[in-house]
Amino acid sequence: MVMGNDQNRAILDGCWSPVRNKFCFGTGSYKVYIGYVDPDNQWWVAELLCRKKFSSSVLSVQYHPSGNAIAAGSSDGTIRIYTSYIHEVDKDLKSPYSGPLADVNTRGDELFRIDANSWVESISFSPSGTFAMATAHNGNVVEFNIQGTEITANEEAIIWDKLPFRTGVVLDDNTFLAAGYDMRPTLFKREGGKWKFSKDYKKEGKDTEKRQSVVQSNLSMFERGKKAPESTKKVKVGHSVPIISVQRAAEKGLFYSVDSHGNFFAWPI
Amino acid sequence: QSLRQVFEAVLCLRDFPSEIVEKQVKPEVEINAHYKDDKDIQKKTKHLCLNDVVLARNEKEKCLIETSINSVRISFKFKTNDDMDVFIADRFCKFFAVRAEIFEILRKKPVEGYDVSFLITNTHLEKFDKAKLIDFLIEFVENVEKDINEIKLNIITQTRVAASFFVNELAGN
Repeated sequence: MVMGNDQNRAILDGCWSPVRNKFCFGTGSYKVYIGYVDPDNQWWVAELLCRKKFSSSVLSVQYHPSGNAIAAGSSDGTIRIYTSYIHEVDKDLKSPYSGPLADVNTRGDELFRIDANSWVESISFSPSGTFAMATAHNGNVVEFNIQGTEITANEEAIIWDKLPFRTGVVLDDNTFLAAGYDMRPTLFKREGGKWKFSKDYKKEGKDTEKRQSVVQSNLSMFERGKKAPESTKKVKVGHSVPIISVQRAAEKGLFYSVDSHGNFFAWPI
Repeated sequence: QSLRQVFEAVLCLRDFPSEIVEKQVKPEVEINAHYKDDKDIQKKTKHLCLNDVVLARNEKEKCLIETSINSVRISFKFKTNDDMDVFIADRFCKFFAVRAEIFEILRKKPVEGYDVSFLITNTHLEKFDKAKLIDFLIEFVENVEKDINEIKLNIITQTRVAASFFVNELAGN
């Protein structure tokens, strides 16, 4: 992959376009790039999304379901939405998406900007493309509504008074799942235009035989004749470290959560 | 306690590569404080740090908390009533500071105006359990005060015994 530019900081977040012909990534050098296959030369190329830089590292990028817009949040507190139609790749594309922003054909135009006043850790668009939720470090979740080409933002869609969220994913038009330093995925549902807290996925001491702690297995080595006590079979379900990422699962009704220790859990919605 | 709540809120750190230096990770709170007078660097890192919080019981006992996106610096100043207390606190904290490598989160030099400083980064949080870390900090503060008082009492009794012997010798003979 060729990067013909003066990029000298880490890539902090990346996202595939929903149509899978291009991807974008945000870097510590305050810029967002789009990568795509140059059809003339048949190799991957990365280009700047737009000339204007952020004033700090880009912590999160996300493609709009139409593939034509990118939302980027950075540690300077701003969330900006830019258009990202790449002429060479998108002109012959027929995507099944029909909704807001389906026929945008510019690149690098700033559609919207908002100051969230704290580091923006994640952004997620809804599958229908009509709104997006961005989680910020001050505990608030900002909601963007996209109607036609107009974008409005509700800065305090969810005011969360506990520890901030690190990641969030919009499951459908009325449900939003967020997780972070509280170590528990939290579900929000929209009722009557307002977002309300719906469920907290707490730790459950279910009996599963997936993992035995090292100490328990050593102990049971010495107690060979005796019956293994029931406690060795219980596995602590739940995170003990902040959750880094939450993703919709391919199977219906499940979502995954991962934390920085590498623990990977699947939860039913 | 309010200390515990503040610590829990403040210890939400994430890894963050330095924006000033290539390919390096630095605790942003240290850079912010060190380059307080350098306007260029301040412009680049100011947004990564939050406001300082001082929790003070009174003028003499305070706790300063400076946070940033990947590190937190917590400094304590202990209650010292007289010169003897100041001396004991100074020596006691230097004792810890020399062994700071074993503690890992302790800072070798306290921040100016304070007795003890801790520097906690996101790597520490990944290694250690966050709740236990907070417990350790709170226990540390409580125990240090107790220890300083104990040491002071010990010194006083020792000097009293020594002084009484000395005076007895002078008077007895």
